[in-house]
Amino acid sequence: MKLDSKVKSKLNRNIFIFIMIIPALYGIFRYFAVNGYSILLAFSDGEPFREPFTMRNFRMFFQDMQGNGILALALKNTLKYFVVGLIQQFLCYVVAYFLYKKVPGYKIYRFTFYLPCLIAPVITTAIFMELIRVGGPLYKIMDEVFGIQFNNLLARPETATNTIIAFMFLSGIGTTYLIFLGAMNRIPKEIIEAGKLDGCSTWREFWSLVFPLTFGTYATFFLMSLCGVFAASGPILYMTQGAADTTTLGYWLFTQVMGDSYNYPAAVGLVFTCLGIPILLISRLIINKANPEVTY
Amino acid sequence: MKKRILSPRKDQEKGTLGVTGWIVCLIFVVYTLILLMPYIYALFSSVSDYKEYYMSIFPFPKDGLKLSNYVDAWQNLKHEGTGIFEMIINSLWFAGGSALLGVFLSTCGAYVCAKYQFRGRKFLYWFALITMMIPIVGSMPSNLKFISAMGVYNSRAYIFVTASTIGATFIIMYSCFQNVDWAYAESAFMDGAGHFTVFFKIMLPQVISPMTALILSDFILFWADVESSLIYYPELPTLATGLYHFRSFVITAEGMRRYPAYFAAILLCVIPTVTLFSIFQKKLMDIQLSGGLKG
Repeated sequence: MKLDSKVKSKLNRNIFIFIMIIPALYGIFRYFAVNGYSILLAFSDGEPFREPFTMRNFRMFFQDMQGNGILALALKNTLKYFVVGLIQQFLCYVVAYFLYKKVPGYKIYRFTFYLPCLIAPVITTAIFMELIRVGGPLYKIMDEVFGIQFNNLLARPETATNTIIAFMFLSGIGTTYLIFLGAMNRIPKEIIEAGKLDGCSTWREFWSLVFPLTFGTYATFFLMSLCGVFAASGPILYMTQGAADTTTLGYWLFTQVMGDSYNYPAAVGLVFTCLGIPILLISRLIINKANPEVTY
Repeated sequence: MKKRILSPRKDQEKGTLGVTGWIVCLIFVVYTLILLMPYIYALFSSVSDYKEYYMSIFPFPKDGLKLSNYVDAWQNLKHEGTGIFEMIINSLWFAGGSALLGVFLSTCGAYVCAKYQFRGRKFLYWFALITMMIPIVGSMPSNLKFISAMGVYNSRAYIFVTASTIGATFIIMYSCFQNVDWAYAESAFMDGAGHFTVFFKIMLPQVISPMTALILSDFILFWADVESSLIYYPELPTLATGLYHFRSFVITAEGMRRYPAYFAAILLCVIPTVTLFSIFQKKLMDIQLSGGLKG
């Protein structure tokens, strides 16, 4: 009887575990199904197994990358947005530092800098485009005050990407600054006090104390940015739909899927995935070596 | 002579950074204005008529607030027969459903991995970690094929098939459960509680704060998502998708007069996320400020 209850209890426990991990198992199945099928699509010209396997998509990719084709342009723009993302991340860190130092009104900034993240890009971009359109408020101000007239900034290749980048800086810094601020708040006060007593200036404190002590958090976010190096993009869909040489890899993939083209984008995705993994691993190795081993 | 005692802790508490502090403060004030100005502009535009909107640098309703723009937006923001009310329902379903389902299902797996010993638990943890770190590019085509094969293309059932069950949320909830004392569960088991009772009545309430924060941030993310709607459920437009299509209309000669109504629609779309944030802002910001999520 006692054994029965033990067996029953174990059975209940195992059933419970199984039920609870079903979603995770499904997640694994979906991951392999989607990415496995993506690989098959990359090596095919239609439905995998119905059409013969081929390397045509990869040959096409390398040809496209050699010229001044759309893919080369998309990659160039993607890397631009990636760099912009890294700069924004560092700015976030600097903002967090000054909030940590409690600049006058820091509680208000902590809140207002968060607000743009609540609003959908389709909205922020729409308002921004209205502000900068020909005949819009910015145009009128520039014309009436400075006598400068500009053409449609988003319609010309020489200004479109820069305008989108400017929008990204002006529309918010994301929520990462709160995480950095949290990491800075955990630094023991005694360390900062000791620095002050030794005559540390604000910048010295920033570079020699705060940055090394929170490097782990910063490095984690830096690595996470690297994970998305080939997915970096601005709000292309809402602002230009890829016109005026603004397309990125992410947007190009989106348009391909919308245009019912699956094999070639799958091959392009596979190549960039293969390129992304070593970049990530090498960066991780370098960061781990550079990371000052600090415990507090 | 009275000696001045240097007290850096007090300095930091007061936030005295000298001239640098005031320069930064000035930059922050200007940046705050830059961040807020577009929404103030949208608010004024939404209560002006189209002449006031087009004639001045900053639209200002001289003959009273034109609240009729909001009525116009509510009645006429349509995309292929889907009205604003249906779009709100779609947004709530896809954003709310995906957020709730994704976080809850991830929590289920994370809980057993963190608190129970069984074969394969380490594999699940490492799998979640690896999927988070390996940058897969271009799986969109095969994902669309998968969605179609599962029969949820253009369907509300989409959220059940695509809910994220093993990834970043799994890892966060895993670390949350590791910080929860197992003694509570043991006491409950001794009192005759079953595994599900312990999970739902004892363990889940202890991680409700981080769960709320994750649901909220996912909700905000999904609420803004236009690409998924365009690709996976184009006939069930959400509010964000409706605005995307509505903009294509207002930039035409025929639709130009509707700009104020467009801004009214924009502000209507902002209300749910801002309201949710206002209710949960302390929780959300405190959790992020603590530098992580703890149970």
